[in-house]
Amino acid sequence: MSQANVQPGLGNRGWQDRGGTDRGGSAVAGGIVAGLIAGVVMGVVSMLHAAATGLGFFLPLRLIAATAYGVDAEIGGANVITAGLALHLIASMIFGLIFGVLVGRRMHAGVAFVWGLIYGIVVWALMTFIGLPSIDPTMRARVAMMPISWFINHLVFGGMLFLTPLLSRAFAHGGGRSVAA
Amino acid sequence: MSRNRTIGLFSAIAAVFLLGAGIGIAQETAAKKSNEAAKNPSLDVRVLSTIHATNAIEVEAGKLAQQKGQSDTVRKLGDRIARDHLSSDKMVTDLAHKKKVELDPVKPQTDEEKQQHEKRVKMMEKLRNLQGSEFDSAFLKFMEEGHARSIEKLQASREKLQDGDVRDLVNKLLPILEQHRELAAHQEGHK
Repeated sequence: MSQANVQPGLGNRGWQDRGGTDRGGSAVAGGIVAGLIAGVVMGVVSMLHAAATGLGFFLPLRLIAATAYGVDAEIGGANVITAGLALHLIASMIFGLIFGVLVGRRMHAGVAFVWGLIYGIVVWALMTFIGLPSIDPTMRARVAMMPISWFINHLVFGGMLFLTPLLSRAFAHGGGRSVAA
Repeated sequence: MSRNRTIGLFSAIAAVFLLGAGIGIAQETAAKKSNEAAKNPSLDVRVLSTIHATNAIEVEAGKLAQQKGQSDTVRKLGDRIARDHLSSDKMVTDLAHKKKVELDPVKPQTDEEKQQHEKRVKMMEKLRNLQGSEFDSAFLKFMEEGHARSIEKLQASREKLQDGDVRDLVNKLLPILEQHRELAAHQEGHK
């Protein structure tokens, strides 16, 4: 196996590069899966908070579904909740993909965590000031009532993206045994 | 010490004193305003008290809808309205506590306010006694008209509010009230 692409130092502990570009297919796959996991964790945190504050466990998903259903999503049934979940996870995977391409697969997980937090803040700003006002004003009005938890949720999402380089390397390695450097 | 350095040092000390004095005056003025608001009921306190009273009515109406609503939609709307107005009331009471003001029952001041108040009392009594689809229709109408009225009143008083926190809260609550009005109107339209 070629050692040409292996670089010493942080981020390459004991795994063998199978070649390919740093920001290629494995980085994309790693980003998508990390985004999915981060989206699930973010969703659970926000739903638990909504339940704890008496607003209803499924309110976050209903508000996301308002993108398609409008204000009626707030009292919609299981189909609305499912749509909200699907939209949230799709968005999470897209944002995860972008992060995966940006950080590549060689980054140390700790560094990826810090970049993830910054990325989470960027996503928060994008959604708060551009995304929601354009596509989901129902949710935008609600977010104004709980700005701190909305911000924290995005930090959780971004922080969880620390998984991106780890997963990217796992995909690059193809699931085989890692070889000590 | 050279003359320029001395002048510079005294200027810096003077600037620090002026800054401190300015901050102190600003804090004292803010504290005075807050204390005055506490002693003299103002429009801001009246608006907070009105929102507080309205929240109580909406929560009761929402809970009635959850218990008595014939359609699933009315029950869900009742649940949404009750939860949102409970949450809104927490924000109102927290703000009142922060401002050190009491949220007293609001007495109608004009004839129109008295009429509205009586209408609301009668409507709540009617809701308590209705059943089935009659309850659903009455509830949806009450929610649509009641929220429309609340929105109108809050929009009218918003410009006259003196306290920035109260105005902020009203700005946050208005879109939620509009959502409730819209939800009730949509369900009424689908009957």
